[in-house]
Amino acid sequence: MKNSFRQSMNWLHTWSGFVFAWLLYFIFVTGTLGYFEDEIDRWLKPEMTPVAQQIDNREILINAEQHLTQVADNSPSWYISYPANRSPFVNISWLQLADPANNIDKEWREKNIDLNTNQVVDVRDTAGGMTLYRLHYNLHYIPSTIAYIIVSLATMFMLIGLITGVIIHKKIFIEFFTFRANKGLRSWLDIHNIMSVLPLPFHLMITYSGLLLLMSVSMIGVINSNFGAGKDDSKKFYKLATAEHSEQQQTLIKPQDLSADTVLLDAQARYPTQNISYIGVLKRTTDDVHYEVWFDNHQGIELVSHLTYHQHEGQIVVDISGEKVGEAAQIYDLLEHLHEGLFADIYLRWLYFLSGLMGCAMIATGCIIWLNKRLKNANPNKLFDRTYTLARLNIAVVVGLPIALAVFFYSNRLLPIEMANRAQWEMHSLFISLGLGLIICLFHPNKHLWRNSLWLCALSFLILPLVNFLTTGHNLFSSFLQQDWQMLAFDLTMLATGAASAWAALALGQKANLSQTGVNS
Amino acid sequence: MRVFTALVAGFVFANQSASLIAYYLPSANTVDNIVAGKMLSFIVWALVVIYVFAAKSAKQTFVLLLLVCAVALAWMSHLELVFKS
Repeated sequence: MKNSFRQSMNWLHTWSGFVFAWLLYFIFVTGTLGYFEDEIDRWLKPEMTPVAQQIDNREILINAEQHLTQVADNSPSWYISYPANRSPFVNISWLQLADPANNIDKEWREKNIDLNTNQVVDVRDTAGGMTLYRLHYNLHYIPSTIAYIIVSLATMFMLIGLITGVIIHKKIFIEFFTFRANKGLRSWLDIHNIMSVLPLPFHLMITYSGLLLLMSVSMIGVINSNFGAGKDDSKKFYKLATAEHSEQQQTLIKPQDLSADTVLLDAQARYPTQNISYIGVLKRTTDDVHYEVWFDNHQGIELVSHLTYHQHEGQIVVDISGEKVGEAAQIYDLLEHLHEGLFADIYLRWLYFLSGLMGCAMIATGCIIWLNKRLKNANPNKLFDRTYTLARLNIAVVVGLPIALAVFFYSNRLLPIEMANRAQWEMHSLFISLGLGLIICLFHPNKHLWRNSLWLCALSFLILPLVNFLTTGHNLFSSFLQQDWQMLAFDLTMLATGAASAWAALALGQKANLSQTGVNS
Repeated sequence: MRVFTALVAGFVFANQSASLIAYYLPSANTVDNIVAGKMLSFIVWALVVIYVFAAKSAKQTFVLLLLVCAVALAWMSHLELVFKS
């Protein structure tokens, strides 16, 4: 198309990167937060009491079963979750059956148990870390199938951007070690290169595996033509594709003794080194009760996932699930685990998080470069000049999204506890503030737009720990004394984010005009 | 033109290649072959996109890809992967 291969690839890199850049930025930011889903969830539920003492698995079980019998005796499925590294809590959850008479929907419910007082704790209604993490592929407001297709398409553009990015850099290693500060566009290009090349394996892995995770939606035609169309076929396909090697062994448990307690003892005897993370009681209301024991899956990349105890021909047997049957399915699993990083310990998790942040920075700097090349020829005095409008909207996304996330955290603390649909309103506040940010950025004068929005961002994050203290009593000192590391780390991370944003605002302080070289241009 | 060729024809050909890869893989596990075919199809798609934008003439590339897709479609219907009776 252009004169040389490299030039055409340069064009492709520019445009494939730009078209979905804001959506990709959104996906990267929310996805990166997803690596700390459990930790964020803990902050969003300040009522939960972390378990600090040594625990006895059986004692917790008996305790949890008592509580479950009280609140959910007619439910077909129970789960009891044990304290794990990333979630040091005892929780009970159950499938609440629909009760139209009392306006109750069929849904999973969860409650926390405080081991000190042995009481069930009422946790505030919150969207939780899960909803925040799901944002990066379901986009919240639109039907999930459409969201998956949009996200897949954006991810494909990202993959093209990455491949062409590698192609156009002849001297990828030399350029990697070059940084020219205060040189306007060159400096942004250098930052863009560092943010792209340093975590390049991460970027490639996350993009490709992201495509794979949604391929059953985006490539549905393949299943239809090679396997069969229709709902039953696709269910059957999914079941076969995710089939695991399963081995059935006899147990010494007598049928009349089958209970969560005997199952727990048997599982502990079989795998004495594994930590138990969940015990499930399924098909409770039938004669064919199944007990599941799940192990903590942060102990290596291959998961010994779970054991299932049930009655079979008059005896109690245990199904031990292993790896996937298919070879392609195993590779798929590996990539999925790499994408989700479930196996990562706290250090690797931070590395994931930092790589994700660098991905966000890569996209943001890419946008800034694209805009700066064009702002030179644009007219700053014209109302709604196209390039200037894009530059303003870019700020509304790049800085506005973190601010919107801060607003989400505020809404968790400040919305009335008894409010109806509280969890939904937390998400609404996120998107309302994102929308407000777009409007404000459109009408704010060019001058100081970067600086002011960065200051706003800094303030929102710096004040958050204070609001946390005023509304819940959790503060840095009490969290430290109670060894509540997740609460402590969250507050510290908020302060660090605020500080970083303030530093950026100060650095841009002198030259904070949209059109000045070196700042935004 | 190139954008259309790369996105639409690329997507169609990626799907076709996934079906064909799944068909020709030696393993007896059909479902697993489909999973493999789909995983590889994204790479096929990416390569098609790069090719379309690197080629000299947009029109020729479009016609070429149209032909390739048509041949693949004919081959698939020969294997009864599409147009099943």
